[in-house]
Amino acid sequence: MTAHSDVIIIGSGPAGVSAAWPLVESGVQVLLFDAGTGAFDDSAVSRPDLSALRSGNFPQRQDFLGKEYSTLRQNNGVSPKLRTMPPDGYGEEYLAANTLQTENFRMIGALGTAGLSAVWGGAVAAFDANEMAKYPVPYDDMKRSYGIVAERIGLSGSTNDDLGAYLGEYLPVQPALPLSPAVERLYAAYGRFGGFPDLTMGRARNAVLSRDHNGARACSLNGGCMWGCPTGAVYSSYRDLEALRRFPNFKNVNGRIITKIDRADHGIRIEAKSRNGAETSIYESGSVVLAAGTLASSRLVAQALKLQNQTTRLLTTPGIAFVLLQPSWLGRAMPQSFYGMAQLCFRHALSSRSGDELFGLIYDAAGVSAVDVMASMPLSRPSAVALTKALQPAMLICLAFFPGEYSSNVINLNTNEHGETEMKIKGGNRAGFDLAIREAVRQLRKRFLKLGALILPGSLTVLEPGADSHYGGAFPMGERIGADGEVTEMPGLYVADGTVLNALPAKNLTFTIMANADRIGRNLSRKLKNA
Amino acid sequence: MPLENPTQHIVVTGASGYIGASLVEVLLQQGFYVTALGRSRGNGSGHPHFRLIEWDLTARPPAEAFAVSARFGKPIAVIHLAHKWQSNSCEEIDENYQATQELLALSRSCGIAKFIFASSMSARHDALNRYGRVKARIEELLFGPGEIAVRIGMVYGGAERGLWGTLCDLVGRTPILPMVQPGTLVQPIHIDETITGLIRLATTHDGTKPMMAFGADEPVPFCVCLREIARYRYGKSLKIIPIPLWLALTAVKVAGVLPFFPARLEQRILGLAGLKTLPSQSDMNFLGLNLKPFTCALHDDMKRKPRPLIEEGRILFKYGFRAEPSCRFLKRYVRALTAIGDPRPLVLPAMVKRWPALMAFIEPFPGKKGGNELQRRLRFMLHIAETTPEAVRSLYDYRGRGLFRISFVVLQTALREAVSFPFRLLRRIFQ
Repeated sequence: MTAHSDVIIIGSGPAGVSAAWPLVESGVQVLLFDAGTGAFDDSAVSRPDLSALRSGNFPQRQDFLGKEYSTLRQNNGVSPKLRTMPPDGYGEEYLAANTLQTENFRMIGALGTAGLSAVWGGAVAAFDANEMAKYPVPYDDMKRSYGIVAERIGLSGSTNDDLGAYLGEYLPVQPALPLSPAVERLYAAYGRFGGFPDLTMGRARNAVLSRDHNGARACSLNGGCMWGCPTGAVYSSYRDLEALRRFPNFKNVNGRIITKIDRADHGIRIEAKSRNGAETSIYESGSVVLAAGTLASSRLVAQALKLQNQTTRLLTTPGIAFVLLQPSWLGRAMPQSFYGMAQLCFRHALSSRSGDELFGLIYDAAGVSAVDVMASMPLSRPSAVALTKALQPAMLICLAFFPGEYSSNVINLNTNEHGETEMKIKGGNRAGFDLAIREAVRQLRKRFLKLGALILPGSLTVLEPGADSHYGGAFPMGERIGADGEVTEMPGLYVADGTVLNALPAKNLTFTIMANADRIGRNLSRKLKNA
Repeated sequence: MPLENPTQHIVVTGASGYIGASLVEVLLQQGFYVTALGRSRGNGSGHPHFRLIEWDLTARPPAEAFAVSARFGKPIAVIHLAHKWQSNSCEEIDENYQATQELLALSRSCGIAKFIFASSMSARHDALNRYGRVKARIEELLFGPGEIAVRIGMVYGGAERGLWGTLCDLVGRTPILPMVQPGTLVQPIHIDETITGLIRLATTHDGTKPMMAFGADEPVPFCVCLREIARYRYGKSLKIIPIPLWLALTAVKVAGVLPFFPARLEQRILGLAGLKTLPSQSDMNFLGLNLKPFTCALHDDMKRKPRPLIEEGRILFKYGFRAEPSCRFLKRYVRALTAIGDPRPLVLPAMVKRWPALMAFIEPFPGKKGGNELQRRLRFMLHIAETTPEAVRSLYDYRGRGLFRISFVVLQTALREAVSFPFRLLRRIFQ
């Protein structure tokens, strides 16, 4: 079967929908493929507040454990979020569908509709001109796209605190969500202290609504964010997909995995397989935009170009996690209603070099299951249960990321005799990373102590390479791929996701991927109009 | 291989045995007419398509079983499962050999298309036991078209009868099992698969080999089978002590003098010792059988008889929360483990089963990648406990208990850990 359309987009994650918007709005026929069911997982919609669930009045097992105990299947201690709401097609199935092999690398990917954005925490930051110095892209274009995406999805936070400019002060931002008491105390101490030369702190910038926006509802401070947002205030690309489906020139084909990309007489031909592999269909289009997520897209680029034994880098932002104890909140109650994901963020300079810094997010531990909190405590379980109950109200969880230059992951791409491209990822961090962690934690321990909070001894966890799920930069713009996202050797094939990023600062990359996809989609729609 | 005519007639011997009883049940379900040749009725009793014709292995087989009658047409196959373990005669004139010879002659004279003889993986002329040698001699009788000897591996699952019943019973009785050559490889096959295979063999029109191997192509050490049975059925570990063959033979000879010593046990012990494996993949493919792994049946068993898991859930909960769990918790614990396909019960020391608090001395420190079995199960228990009202209050503080109470808890925890910590550390060093 062959079908035609002006533009084919592969992937329904944040990059895919962001590239789709400008094209659809300019009247171009768009066909968007994704591997998921296309349906929204609404299991969280009717869930009561987290505190009500924990009072024992709503002993519903599905609320914590998912349908058919699905949340207990991924009990391998990666991220609580991946345990509590494992996305569709996460894990083994994702590896198999992408013929991926990993070594020392924690692969996080999902085949489901909306991709990883279905489990996104919503941390948002615009890269500044310095951070984009390596990008062959005019910064004003990016700035414009940042603004357009921010306007569409809705952000909350603050533009006039110490990190307002760092995260992008020119963006439309709704008021920040209220802080929970234990976090409030830390932030108040920071306010009194007035900052440090190497540590600045501010309200987290999130793709989470504090006011109703474009038909989406605001955060209800349910607290159970880790189990899925009941109001839909946390952005996932489902929201955009639903809006796009209302356009007559937008079509969405679900349950398809793209296996091959080839040149056709007039443009590009793609081969799509059904999820169970039973059905294969062929589609052709003048332009194909790849937005399947960095790893899947990189593999498809390699397949399209029939690369043999090609080795490329894969950027990640190596992460660490630790627990902060707020002694002034010991003995007090857990918050009844609060926002369960990042409330504050911080920036810690690792050296005097610009960009050599740690970007951290601070969560109230109340939003995490006590079982996950106590998982790495070296105590016997009865003690861990008792101690967690005692300390959790005063615990904050910090997640901090290093810039991409600290990672040294390698992808090996090879096309086998069947024309399939195999991908091997070898994870790693650059030499001296352990030392950098030790030094950073030593400094942070001192700083936080000044703010009255202490890093709980033994709580430091270094994430496995890849566990941060911030993947990018396998085929950066300016090499095989042009600044407009077009693959030089295969005109008509565009790449619009993390694959093409040139460098990763410590900040979260999703917002930049969306803005860049918007920019690529916008350029493409202009090109199609002129043609 | 679909059935051509579902109202076909099959003669079965040994219809009340472990395989026979299930075979008759399935045959009748699938619309076959069944004649049981033997002494007892088995599972077919009262079914309109079933009849019993009395026959003892030592007597001449009754010709009426093969004749066309008002209700029963000409049989398409004989499935000969019967075996007499206790013999009064010497091996050369074994009753089983004689009986099969006569049954086969009758079947040939009546022009029955298939004669399927249940042999054994242990069938060999130089087998250590009489059973294996007799089976091997009988196999030689079969040379005509449609005459097939089926060498069946270790049949397991279903009702606890036959060798399977003996094994289930045996591992439940003792924590230590002396055994001849525990590493002997066996080829397990589930009872349902055995029956499907036999029926397909009886009804297929494709040419068959004179000898078929029924069992997993990839053999499993017998001691592994026994350990898994002990674990799934009783939640306990089984120590297997290898004993030399001469000792076992002497012991069996001595025991054989005793009047109550079951003859088949002796035969089975010896049968195992000399067992060799047979490639079976092509035969399984021929019959369209895709054998499930041995543990699958044990997994399924957990859904019906989850007692070891209930006990495990109770012990872990008592350890974590120092209280008895509710039925709701236990039900969820068992359901969740079976739902996620990991219902293999933990093996816990008897002392811990008696006093769960003692687990503090053996609980390992958290490790990478989810830790060991006990840790994973403890974590699992806590996740389930979080969904039950009685435990969730022990996990979260939504009232604020004040600094004094918190200090008390911290102190108490420190003291408790100070007691158990050295033991855990020692355990870790020695592992």
